[in-house]
Amino acid sequence: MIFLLLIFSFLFVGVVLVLRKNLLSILMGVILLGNAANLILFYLADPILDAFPFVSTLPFLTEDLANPLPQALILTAIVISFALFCLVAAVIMKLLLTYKIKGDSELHDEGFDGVFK
Amino acid sequence: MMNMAPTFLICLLLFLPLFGLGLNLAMVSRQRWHQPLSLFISGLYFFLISDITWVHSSSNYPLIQVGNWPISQGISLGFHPLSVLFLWITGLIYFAACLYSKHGVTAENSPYFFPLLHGLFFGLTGAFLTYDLFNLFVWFEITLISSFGLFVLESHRYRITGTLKYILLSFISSLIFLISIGLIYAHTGSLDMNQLTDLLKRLSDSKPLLVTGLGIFIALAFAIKSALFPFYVWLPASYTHISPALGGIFAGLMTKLGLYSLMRVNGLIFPYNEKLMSFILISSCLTMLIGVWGAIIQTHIRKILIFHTISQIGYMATSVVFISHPDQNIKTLGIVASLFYILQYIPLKTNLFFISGLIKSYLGSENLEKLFAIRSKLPWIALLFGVSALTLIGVPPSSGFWAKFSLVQATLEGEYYLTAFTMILVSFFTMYSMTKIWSEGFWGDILEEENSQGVKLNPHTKNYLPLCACTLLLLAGITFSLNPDILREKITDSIKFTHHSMETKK
Repeated sequence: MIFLLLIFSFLFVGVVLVLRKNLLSILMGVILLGNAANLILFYLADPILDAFPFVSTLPFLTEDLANPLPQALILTAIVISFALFCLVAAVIMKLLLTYKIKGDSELHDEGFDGVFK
Repeated sequence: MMNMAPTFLICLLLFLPLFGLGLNLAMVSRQRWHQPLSLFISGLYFFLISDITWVHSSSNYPLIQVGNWPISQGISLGFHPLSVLFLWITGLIYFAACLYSKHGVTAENSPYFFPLLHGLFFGLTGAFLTYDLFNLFVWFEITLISSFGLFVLESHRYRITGTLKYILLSFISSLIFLISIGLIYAHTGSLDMNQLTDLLKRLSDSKPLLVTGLGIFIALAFAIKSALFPFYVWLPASYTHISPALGGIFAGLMTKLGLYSLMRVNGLIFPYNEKLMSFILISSCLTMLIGVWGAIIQTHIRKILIFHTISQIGYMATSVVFISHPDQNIKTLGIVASLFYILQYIPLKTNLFFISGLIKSYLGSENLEKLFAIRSKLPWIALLFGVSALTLIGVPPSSGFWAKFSLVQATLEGEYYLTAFTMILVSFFTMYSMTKIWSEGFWGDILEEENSQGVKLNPHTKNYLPLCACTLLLLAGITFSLNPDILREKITDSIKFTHHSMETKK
């Protein structure tokens, strides 16, 4: 239940932020949406929250085993979404600092011929 | 090559671009070594995949289980009958791109160009080889991240803003892809494509609406990536500002990765679903029309080509409808036609972009309002462009004609009359805008130009390698034109193999 609440709040806030005009809130929205997707993946794989995803001989570990596959998938997905986040951050920083573009209304393509003669 | 273990060969195909990436990155300060090294690596890659495709039958190669995990948990890599020809085309474009991208002339000047190019082809190779749905996602991301890197290599305001749009839309489609992978895993417990075919068929008997929903959801992700009708906006916004070498690779090959996944996942894995397929048909008709109408008002050669790319994606998207069609006769006819279309189209489109880049590097402009009499200034380029343009329109002896002819035949057989009509109509519009490029840019007398204010030929550019790349791609096109049966037979063989492998599984 808490999980679902978390996922939906991430999704909701992420979508709202991505749809805003400010480039920095788009950046925040991207990372929230990426994490929401990872959480959805985790939730859908039906995790047993107390169990470990590996077999162990240690006595204090519980008997039941969580499915390790979704966790491996999420690990990959987290790395990818983090790389994407870094790239979006770099691009937005470039736009903010070099070209002084703050909102998405300035992103329009005014002229093509100006660029490529 | 014959004695090599098949497992080793498949790994080598993946390893070569990765090796190229590392090698070029290690020699990042010695930029003049990049092209020779890349040529060697991509040449070897092309040789290997040609050997596998045309000399040996790819069906002899087994699947590799990575790390010897059992099938439902591990990743399988191997040649799928659908993907072998795509891999061959990837090899061809890889080699041609390395041949074409001459530092400072036709490509970017950044020393990171070649490493990222290898990264792109590494991702493409993996995506065509994999049998695992999540692994497909990972390869997609490798390809996309390399392409983002290539996009921002040279900084220009419009280029960066275009990149931002491209990244955000790709990101959204990746999210949808990831969530639908999660949903599929939750309901079937497997991500292996071979197993999913049976599992989803069984699931659709008990929960047909759920499977339909899953199919639509994952198709949405691929439709964004391949720029189908409502989601095509990112393509002209971002592809117009990159260098022609990149434009050729992206528009020719990379957007087709989305189509391939649509065919592979929605066509082969999911059971036939009439509603989704009719939606794809309508969307492909609209894609054809919108793309070609967009091309009519443009006056910049490469921008016209970009809008044509969108229009051609509409033609190719019909392949998804055919590949899962329940009627065996229509299915075979359609899939041979649409695969033929895709495979002859990829080198052609890449070549047109490359030629437009050559025009730019020789004459300093690609704007039709400034270009004049290319025919008499650069006759060889005019010949290359003319033949490619005629093939794209589909004038009878060319491979474009065979492709369009058999595609229209297949759509008529499947009783999709509106689609067939749109295909023919769009061909006329394509002809119109190609005629525009030809009459405004290529036609004209060189003597008249001295009075007008046209652009002058740059006498110092002597680049034979880019010309060789264009000629190589044109030769592939001409081979398919004069002897279309080579490709047709290969496709028919692989389709037979698909049926066979499905029957033996049952």
